[in-house]
Amino acid sequence: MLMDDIPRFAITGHPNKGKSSIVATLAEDAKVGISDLPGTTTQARVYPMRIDGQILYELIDTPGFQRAREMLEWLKARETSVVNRYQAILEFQKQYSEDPHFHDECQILKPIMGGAGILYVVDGGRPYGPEYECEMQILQWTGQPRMALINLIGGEDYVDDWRRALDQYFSIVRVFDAQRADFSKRIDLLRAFQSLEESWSTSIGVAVDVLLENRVQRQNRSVREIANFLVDVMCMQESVALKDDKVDVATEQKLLQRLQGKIRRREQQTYNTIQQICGYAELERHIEQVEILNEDLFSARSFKLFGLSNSQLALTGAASGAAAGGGLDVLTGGTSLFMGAGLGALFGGIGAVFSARRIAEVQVFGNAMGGYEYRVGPVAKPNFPWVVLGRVVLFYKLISERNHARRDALLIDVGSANNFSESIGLQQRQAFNRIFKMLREHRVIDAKSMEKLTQLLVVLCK
Amino acid sequence: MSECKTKYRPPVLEDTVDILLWLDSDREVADAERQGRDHRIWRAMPTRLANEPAQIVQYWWQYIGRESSGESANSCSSDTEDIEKSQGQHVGYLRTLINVSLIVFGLLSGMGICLAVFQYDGSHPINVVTVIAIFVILQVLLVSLSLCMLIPRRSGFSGLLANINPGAVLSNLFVHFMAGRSSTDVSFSIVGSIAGGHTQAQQKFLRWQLFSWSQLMGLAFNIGALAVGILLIIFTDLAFGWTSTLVFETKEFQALIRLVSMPWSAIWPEALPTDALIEQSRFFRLETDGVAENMARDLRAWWPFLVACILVYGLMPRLLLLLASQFLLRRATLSLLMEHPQIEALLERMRGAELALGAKGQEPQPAVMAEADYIKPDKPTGRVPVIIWAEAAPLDKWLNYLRDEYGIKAGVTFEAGGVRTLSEDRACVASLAASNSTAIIVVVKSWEPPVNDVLDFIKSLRQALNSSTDVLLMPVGPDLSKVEARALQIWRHALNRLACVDVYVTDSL
Ligand SMILES: Nc1nc2c(ncn2[C@@H]2O[C@H](COP(=O)(O)OP(=O)(O)O)[C@@H](O)[C@H]2O)c(=O)[nH]1
Ligand SMILES: [Mg+2]
Repeated sequence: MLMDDIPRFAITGHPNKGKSSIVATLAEDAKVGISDLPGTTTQARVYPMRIDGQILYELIDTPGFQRAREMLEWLKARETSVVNRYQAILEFQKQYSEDPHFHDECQILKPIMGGAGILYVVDGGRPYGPEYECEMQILQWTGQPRMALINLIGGEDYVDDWRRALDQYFSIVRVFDAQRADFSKRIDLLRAFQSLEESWSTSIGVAVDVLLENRVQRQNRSVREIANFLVDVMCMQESVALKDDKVDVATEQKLLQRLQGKIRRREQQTYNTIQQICGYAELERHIEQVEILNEDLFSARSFKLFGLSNSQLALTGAASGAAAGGGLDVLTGGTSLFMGAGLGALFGGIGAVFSARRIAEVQVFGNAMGGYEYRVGPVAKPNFPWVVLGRVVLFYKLISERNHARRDALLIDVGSANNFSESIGLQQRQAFNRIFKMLREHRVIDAKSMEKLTQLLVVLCK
Repeated sequence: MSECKTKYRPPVLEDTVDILLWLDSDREVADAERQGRDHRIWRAMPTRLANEPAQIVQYWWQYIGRESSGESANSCSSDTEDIEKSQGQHVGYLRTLINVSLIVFGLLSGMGICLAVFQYDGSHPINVVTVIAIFVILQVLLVSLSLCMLIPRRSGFSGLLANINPGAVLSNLFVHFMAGRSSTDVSFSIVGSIAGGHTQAQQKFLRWQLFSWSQLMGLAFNIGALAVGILLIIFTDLAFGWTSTLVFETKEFQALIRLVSMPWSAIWPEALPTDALIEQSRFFRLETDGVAENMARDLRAWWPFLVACILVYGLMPRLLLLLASQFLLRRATLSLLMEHPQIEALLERMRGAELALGAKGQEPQPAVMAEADYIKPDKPTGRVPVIIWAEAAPLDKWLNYLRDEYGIKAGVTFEAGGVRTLSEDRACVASLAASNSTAIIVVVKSWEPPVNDVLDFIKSLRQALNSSTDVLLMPVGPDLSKVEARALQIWRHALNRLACVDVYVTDSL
């Protein structure tokens, strides 16, 4: 046994029974090699659970048994009594550690003889066979704490048979569906590890607490991302400078495309971040894009000087405009000086619009000081935030419950969020709608509403 | 570990821009890595800072700065002289530029307007009412209007204010003035995102920035006006009189002047025009009597009043408001940074323990299965020996199946693998060695992967047989059910790797 008392678990079994899948699930590591080709795992590989660099436990993925029968015969030939079985295994290790013939067996033995507990994995969807007995016996001979996990690759038709067989060799036998186990199942399994060996209990207990806390943190972080994303995307605009106040279709289309692109990029960015938070560095996803049509948008044409619109100028130009923007003092001073009319402008109430247009023709460093602006966005369609929200919440749910053993792509099609708003309670829906309305109309959110939005999302993401 | 003891300094706009930009590009980094890095900084941080978010962020930012400039942790030169200006410095520079231009603008317009108002050619005295209108009434109006902009947008004035988004105003101004300065493209986006911001902190920042610009310009205006006014009074002859289209009685005007001078009448009595002076300096009186030589000097006596007007109604409020707005702007800059979602996320990352579950690095990717051509074996003739491996199927059932399905008669039969010993397997191989049948059928479980245990057996069997005998490996499903195509592929793949000739994997004959 090793001196440090870190709980270690060697995941062992026949090839292709989902050992690596279980490791991927527990270690939230989507990079574990998993394949239906036997012999994918060729080397024992350690997956430590670290909190602030301190290891709480280690999982060790191992290749499957290849020559269990032969190995057991070798061991039996050296066994003189139950007492020296362990010794026989040590001898086996010594003799074959370099021999490719028993490479996989040695890879399995190494962590176990180093003190690791044993998780023996079988498939409850396939019939029990006598050839498993050799493997179970070898594991039994090591004398290490043992637990059997019945994975459900091919269904659960044979679980009872397996139980009867496994019960004879393992102190704990549990069903654990490697690819479908959700977070709570994983926690249950870890708790079962606790009972495997007294001295590991504390460490595993801490690990469970850490995982639970981490889960909440991740959720909070994801919710924050979602909230910020919603606010951003609902306020998004695009604009273009025009020479006169006419907009052609091509320009309109270009702006629409730009806005669409902006919204999509922001959406992708959010998905990426959430995906990262949920522990997937890379993941193939197929997410259909939302389409925005021209009629979904607000659009506006306006004359601008210094980037200020006509009405902004009118208000700023005349004394009353001070109330509006605060740029007032700046501009009254400015316009009067520009026009060289001094006091006349101040008292005469010459329309700022008039003067602005004249100034607009002035070129500074080749740039006209003013011109027209055409703006599209934010998206006006009341359903828009619901579609965006529905998709991102769906994405979050799929990915946060997704199991790291899965190697298929994550799918979200356009229709999947269509009836989202109907799926949540009336009160919640109204609360959301109030916030959406505020964003649509004022393009700003205050701290209290942001808080409210976050709360609503937390409930939604549960 | 030596620690850099840099004093806390609230973040300025430059830092804010730089930090937010850095965090923005940091989004590309894997989350686990960010979490690890930020939490490590947290742990290196003196614990006394733990409840001071702004100081935490400063500590973090300095740490990042040291790390990225590749300095060892013990060299404490905090101000790294970057030859290249940071985006934040660009923005800061831009703001200074705006400040300076506003000051120049304000001074010039103050001076210009003062010159215009105090224009005296010796024929008509300067109208005190004009001076009051511009330097008292207009100023008070402007100040109170600029105070109006502090009214929260969504109350009262909202109708008027709604079409003006201060964010849009500022960002547009910025973009306009900066157009063509390509080096600042990035700071554009950040300024744009602050300016077009949707959060309260962003809007508050904008409000105070605009407000303080407004005050800066106003202050410069009044300073310019005051300076020119004093110079004119000192170096030129001025005469003041009063008239108004609103037709004041002298009495009323006297009361008005007293009202205007109230703030200073106690401490600077000379600046309160006497009733006699007011009486004398009425325009129509001057016109009928003419501006007598000796009277002109008396009419100059208005000047302390006028200077006091500019000082008290123009300069002072602007100065006070400027100071207040600077203070508030600084606070708004702090919350602009600290209330930014990215900073909230950063603090959360720093505080959250660094959890790592996976293994380091990438496991070698699973080999892709090469598609090999499959050659169908000849149908065996005569009596065919059968080996059932590891109870893959009940023997009698299998023999019936062979006969019924393919019309094949079994020869000798064996059970091997599974619970049997290796020497039993060897005996089976030995007894088949002399066989001259066309083929030998080995039945295996299709659902179990081809492990070396069975492959060893096939290999030794193959070697023992003479070359005219084919080995037919037949995977079967549970209870002789149909074999999945994938399982068949996997078995074929394994046998291909074994590289034995005349071994066929097939589920039918
Ligand atoms: N449907 C299903 N398939 C699984 C499950 N666990 C593993 N598999 C599949 O079984 C195959 C072998 O899995 P792997 O983890 O590589 O097994 P190992 O050889 O024991 O490490 C892969 O194709 C997996 O996708 C499961 O719980 N459900
Ligand atoms: Mg594996």
